Amino acid sequence: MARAPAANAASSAAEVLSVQNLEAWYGESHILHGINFNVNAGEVVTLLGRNGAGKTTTLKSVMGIIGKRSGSIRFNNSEIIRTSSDRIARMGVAFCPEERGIFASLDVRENLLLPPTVKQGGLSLEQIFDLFPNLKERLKSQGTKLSGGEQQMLAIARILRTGANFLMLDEPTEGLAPVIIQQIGETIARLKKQGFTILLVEQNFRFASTVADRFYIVEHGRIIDGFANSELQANMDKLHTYLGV
Amino acid sequence: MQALYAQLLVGLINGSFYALLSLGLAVIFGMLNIINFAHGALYMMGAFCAYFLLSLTGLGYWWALIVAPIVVGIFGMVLERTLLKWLTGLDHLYGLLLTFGIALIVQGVFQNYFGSSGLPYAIPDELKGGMNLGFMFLPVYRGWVVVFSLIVCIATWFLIEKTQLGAYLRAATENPTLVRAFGINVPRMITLTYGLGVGLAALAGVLSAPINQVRPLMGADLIIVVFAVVVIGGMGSIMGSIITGFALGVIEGLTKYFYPEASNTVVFVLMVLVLLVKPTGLTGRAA
Repeated sequence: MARAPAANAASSAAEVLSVQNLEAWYGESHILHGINFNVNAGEVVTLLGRNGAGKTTTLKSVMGIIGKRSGSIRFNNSEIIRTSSDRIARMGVAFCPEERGIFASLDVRENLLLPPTVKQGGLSLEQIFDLFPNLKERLKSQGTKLSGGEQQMLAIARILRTGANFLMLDEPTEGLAPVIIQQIGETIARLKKQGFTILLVEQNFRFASTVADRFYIVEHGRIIDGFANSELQANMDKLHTYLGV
Repeated sequence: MQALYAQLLVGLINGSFYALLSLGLAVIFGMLNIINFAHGALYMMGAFCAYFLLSLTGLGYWWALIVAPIVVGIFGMVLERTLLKWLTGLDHLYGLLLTFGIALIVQGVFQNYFGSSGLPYAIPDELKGGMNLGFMFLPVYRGWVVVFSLIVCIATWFLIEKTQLGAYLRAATENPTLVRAFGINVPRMITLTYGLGVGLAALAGVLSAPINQVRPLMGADLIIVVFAVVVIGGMGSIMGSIITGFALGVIEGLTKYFYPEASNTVVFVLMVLVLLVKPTGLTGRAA
């Protein structure tokens, strides 16, 4: 079994998530071929990779919304590979999907209040409006009538209310204007300061480099490399090769 | 003129049953994506439940209004847990065929034991008699059916459109996987929703028992019209089902007065017209 590469160095800190030899399938298609990585408390860890590498499938597998998977996923030392997604969420894992998942039949307020509180310590509505002032002005609007940036803010905001302290964000910057990307970057930095642990999936390497503590490179359903942010410059050439940038 | 008002009242009463039944169908279709052809049989079971409560335990109409929807709703939840849940993700046709089969079996069993003729169920003493409104005579029980159905319909609409539970239901209709990933037990919610829809059908059955008697095929006669109501209103649309249910009942009543020959077909003619002009129904949204 292949171990996660160098980025595992920080594993002496409290380990929140440990993924070992994770395999996953969509129907007959074998997508993940033995993924290994870990995330420690208070870290922002980013999975980087090209389209179709298996990054989103990894997040969905951790969240329990991929039907067929094997291997080991341990969250706060509890094995969750066989746990249903609603129970995983109630253990304190929150997921913000790539397509944002804003509900058209719900207004902004209903979208915001939809995920139930799973733990004490979630952000209050006032704190959320402090982070995302735009949402306060759009509470009565239909969720899908918001701009792309506002929808992304809403998608992040609603999981902050729940009290979950492990956030999985799937390409939060996709399709957004630079000014909104910057705002989301600042939000992630604030959340990290507040003690949230974040697993981020990104294709936008420049954005990820401003927020992440560590990186894993995903290719063909495997983790092929990993390094800390401090090692970024030394790995730049490799990174360009991996990502094709 | 009295005959016109009488037909309007009959239309409103039929509309009450259409609304209650199509509301249940809309709730079930919206959440489970199942075209519940067993709805008529479950409506009949509500009426029979009222009949059994009275004849076996002495519990009358008012008790039946509470107990029958619960008992039949639980039966519905067992059906969902044991049969319908296996159809998740499959084409609508499978659900339609399965529920049609369930309807045939349930109706067949009741017909075997009780024949096809109606069993009497008395109007409760409190709702006997009538009122002279000046322009027409209004039987109290029929007025009660219209008002009570309207209250139940509005309460159901409120539950689904204006409460947190309703927000869960609407969200799970759109994206059950994500709603579950938020920590909501969607499979349990689906079972309860089916129970709610079935309970509404059973409630309509209890309301109908004193007017139409209790018959094994009472639901089979009604269900085709109710499906037409749902199609006209828009599959899965709660308010659409309520408004269309009452409106089509009234239109049917007016047709009985002005052109009786068309009274049995007017609903289906309207359905065809609506499908041609707006295939998603009057208040339905495109998928």
